This record gives sequence, C-alpha cells and structure tokens, in this order.
Amino acid sequence: MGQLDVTHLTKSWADSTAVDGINFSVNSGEFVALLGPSGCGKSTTLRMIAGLETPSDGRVFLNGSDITQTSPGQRGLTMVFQSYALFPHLSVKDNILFGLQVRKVSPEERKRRLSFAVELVDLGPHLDKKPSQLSGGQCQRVALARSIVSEAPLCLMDEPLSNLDAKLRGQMRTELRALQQKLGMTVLYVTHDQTEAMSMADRIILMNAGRIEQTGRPEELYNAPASTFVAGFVGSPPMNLIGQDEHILGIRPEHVSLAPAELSNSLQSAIVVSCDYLGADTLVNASFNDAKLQIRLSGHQPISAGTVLGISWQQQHEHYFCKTRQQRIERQNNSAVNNNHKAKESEYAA
Amino acid sequence: MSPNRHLHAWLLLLPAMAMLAAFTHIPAISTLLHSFFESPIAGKTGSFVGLDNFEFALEDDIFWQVLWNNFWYAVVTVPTSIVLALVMAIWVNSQMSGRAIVRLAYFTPTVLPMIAVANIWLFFYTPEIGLINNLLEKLGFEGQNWLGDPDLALPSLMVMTIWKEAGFFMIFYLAALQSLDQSLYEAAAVENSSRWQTFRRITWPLLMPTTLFILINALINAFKLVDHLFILTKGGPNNASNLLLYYIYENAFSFFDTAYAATLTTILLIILALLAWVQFGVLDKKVHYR
Repeated sequence: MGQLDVTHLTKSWADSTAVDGINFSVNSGEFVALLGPSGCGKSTTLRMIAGLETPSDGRVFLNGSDITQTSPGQRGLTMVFQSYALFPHLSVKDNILFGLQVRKVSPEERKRRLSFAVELVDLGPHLDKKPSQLSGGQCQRVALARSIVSEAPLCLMDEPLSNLDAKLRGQMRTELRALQQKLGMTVLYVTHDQTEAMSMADRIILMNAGRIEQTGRPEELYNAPASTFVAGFVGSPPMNLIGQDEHILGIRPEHVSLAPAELSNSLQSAIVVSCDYLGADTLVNASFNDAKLQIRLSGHQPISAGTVLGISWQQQHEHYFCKTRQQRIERQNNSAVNNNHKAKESEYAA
Repeated sequence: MSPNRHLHAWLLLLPAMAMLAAFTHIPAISTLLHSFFESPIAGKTGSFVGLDNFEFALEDDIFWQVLWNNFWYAVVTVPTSIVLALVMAIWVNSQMSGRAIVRLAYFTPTVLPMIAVANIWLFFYTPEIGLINNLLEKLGFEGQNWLGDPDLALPSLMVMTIWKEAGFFMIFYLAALQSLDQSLYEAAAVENSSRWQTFRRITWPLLMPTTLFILINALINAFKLVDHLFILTKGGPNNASNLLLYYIYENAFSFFDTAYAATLTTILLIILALLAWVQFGVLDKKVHYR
C-alpha cells in the first residue's frame, strides 16, 4: 500500500465520463506525474483527490485512511494551482502564511516555517510585496512556498509551470525536482507536457480518455510503449507509426539513420517532403511507403524536397502493435515478426 | 501639436463641455452667487447681503432639524442596505435552484420609479386600511399611524428606502462576486479555511472597491432622494421626516425664497463635495484594487 491509494476512481456526468475507474498508488517520497492530453481526465482526477470534486465512484486513501468523504482542508494535503491562486490583496508573506494562520499554528512555528520556505525558494527580498508586483516565476515560488510551509504529507500540483515562458519553465523544472528530492516530498503532478513528466517524475501515469494507458518509469514509457497512444504521445517528435500487413510498426525518428549512398539501392527508401532545422538537429519529414515518417538527423542537414533517401534502423529499435487493439506485441527473438523489411535489413548488416 | 489638431481636439470636447457648462457648472456658480443676494421681488434683483443668508441658516431651527434628519437617514439606510445587499448577493451567488427568480425578486424594487414605490408603501403604511396595520391587528397588536407619528415617520421612510436600495446594490456585489477567481476559494478550502475566515480574509477585502463604490452612491442618494416625500409625508408631521433637498424645494417653490434655497443648495453641495473628498481621497488609499 502506498502513501496515496486510488481505487476505481470514477467521475461521470449525465452524458459523459471524465475518469473511468482508475487505480494507482503513489509511494512516500515519490514524484509521480499524471500525464495526458487535454481532456483526458487528469485534472479531474487530481481535483477528486484534493476533494474539490466529488467522485461518482471509487475511494481515495491517504496513509491508509479513507479520505473520500473528507473535506479538502481536513485531508492533510496541499495543492499548487495552475493559476497560482495567490490572494491578490495579501502580501507575499501573508499569502504563504494564510494556511498556518487559519489552522492556528503558533506564531513561533509560523516564523520558523516561513524563514525555512522563503530561503528554499529564494523569496527573501519580496516578502512585503503584493502578488501583482511579482513576475510569473516569483508568483510560482510563492505558491510553492505556501505548499512547503503546510508540511502536508502529499503535495498535488496542477500544471504549475504552464503559465511560465519556455526558458523559465525549464529552470523551474530543475528547481522543483531538486526541492522535491531535498525535502522528500510526495508529489502528484498533473501535466500535459511530456517533457516535464519525463524530466522530473520517478514514475509516469499516462492517461487517455479517462483511463490509464500505461504506468511506469519514464524510460519504460519511452522504451516499451504499451500502446500506439503511448508511442504517439511520449517522445518529441513522437514515434513513427507505420501500418503494415499484420501489425503496426513503430520506430522513433532518432533511431532512423541514413544509409551510405552506395548501399541505398538495396535498402528501404523514403522521399523527403520537408526539413525543419532545430539547431542541434534537423527533423526530416519524409514519405515512406505512402506513410509519413519523421527522421531526426544530427546537425544542420538541409536536404531538398524530393530527394530519395536510403534509410535503415536497428532491429532492436522496432516496436510492434496489434492493428485491432493498438496494444504492444512483445517480440520473441525475431520469430514474432517476419516480413521482407527485416530480410533487407539483415542484408544491409551483412 | 499643430494649431489644427488643437482645434480638432477642442471641437471634439465641445458638445460634452457645452452640456456640462449649461446644466452643471453655470447653475452651480449662479446658485453660489444667488446665495449672496436677497430674493428678487417682483422681477427686481435683490441687493447684495454678503453672508446674511448663511447666518440665517445657522439660526434656522428647521434647517438644523432637516440636516439632522438627513444625517440619521444616511447613517441608518446606507450601512443597512449595504449589509443586506451583500448578504443577498452571496446568497443568490450560491449554487441553488431557482436563484434566477430570487435575483429577479430582489432586483424588482430597483426597477420601479420612486414615485411608484412610494405609492405602494403608502398602501402599506396607511393607518386604517393599510397592509401593515391589518396584519398587526390580525396578530393581536395595535396598529400605528406610521406616517403621522413624528417618532415613526422618518424610520418608516428609512425602511422603504432600504427596501428599494438594497436590491440595486446587490447587483453590484453580485457582479463583483462573479468576477472573483474561483481558484482562490479552492486554495482557501485546501488550507482548511472556514466559511467565515474565507469571507473575512478573502471575499470582503476583494469586494472593497465595490463597497466603496456603493458607499459613494448610497450616500449621494441619501441626500438626493426626495421623490417619496412628495407622496408620503411632505416632510411632516412638523418636519419630522423632512430632508435637506425637500426643504430646499419648499423654500424655492412653496415659500418663493429663492435666495435662501440657493444658500441651502450651496451648503448641500459643500456637504456632498466633502463626502466625495473623504471617500476618494482618504478611503481610496486603503482599498486594494486589482
């Protein structure tokens, strides 16, 4: 049993179901990301755990006790909101201490926790300012400090970095992860940004249409996506999914390589449609057996449209998915999949 | 700026300036001037009397009574209608069935003209056949002469004013409440803030700009609203329910003492200017605006 256990959690309205009977746990000190596209039910799940939405079915346990019917303030958790939810009329200090004041924590204890949190998030010079005088990143720190001082066993975060610009987001990602590890916080973090989930989380719960698609460490989701949805969601750009006779073949753009020109006749070929130069690498959009194929090449490689490229990849980087159920098919040492493509590849390897 | 652009700017300002000058500034100045002269008799301009009219006002018992009445009228009706408006707004802002109907019911008194409201309440207050006395008698209490008793006339007017004003102010509070960020309330809920703590520490401070706005309007209205006096009491009995503006009207159009009316108007303008200064100059600095 984890610190947080969610069993058969469901939220449905008259004509739609946002969350469809999901189960998961979060262990103490773990950073778990609840990842998924907009409308997949991840925020609703978080809000049900926080007590801001009433579940239609299912239970939420925190440290073994059932908190499904408990009011949000009695649950022993804290939450960081996407909009920060800072009180605009209160100073930074009063914003951070709001919860401690309403919970009647003694002034000495308040002072101790305030100075501890303020030092952690580096808000020292801004304590008497109003939120409107702060930058987005500073507002984010105030919201974090408010969570830290509560010293609650579980911290819920609802897309806390989505209102920041890209550079600040990257910086806050690192800081947030460092802070979580330093304090040993248990964090359940909702995000639609797979980069955030991949870079910060110990474990990712990937949701789609109210259900959990896959749960696992970031590298598990990347290396062994359980379904075409996971394959198409994790990785940037996501995995190429190529429909074949019996299966769907998945191959990541970074695993496709260009074959030397003299061998190109004997290999698979793709026709270049366009190139996106991204700085460290170039993303080639190509057409492969009438399917779209993205290829990631390192450095600046302008290839004009219409060029025929010989391409290859290693067999270990191939993923196969069932055409009907869209689920992953595990290969058993080359025997599961047998098609002419493989034959060609081994020819090239030889 | 080129002369042409100056001309353009002045031309654009002209309509508004002309209206303001004709109906606000010139009358105000001429009122001030009139207060230094005697009332004109038979078309001849009265002679300059300096501050005599103001001295007369200071010695006029009715003026002091009317001013005192107006003070109580404002002190009772303004805070009461503001508190009622806030309570009603919070109530109809909650998730309950039929709240649209309740909102409409609260707002109805505001839509009615004051003259109509006064006529309705005349029916409530009338001694023999009035609704209130009828109800009281059914419950075994003695009816009162609500508008005829010097001790009851002004309070009766206050009750009616509150009834009319509270719904109007509720609309402002309702609009302000709906513009507040719901996530603030969620954050407060997660912090275990009770309903009262949330109201006192979040809702009330964030509604302060609205409260200030309503306060200004309510105070000005308290000095401005006299329509109901024409229907209900005509300031009586024995000036017990008379208010400053109605007294000015009496002086100007019943007693034809226009100089004294001008003097009282000047005093009223000074009072309103002082109120506006206190509200915008002093209170404004203590209010949090987002």
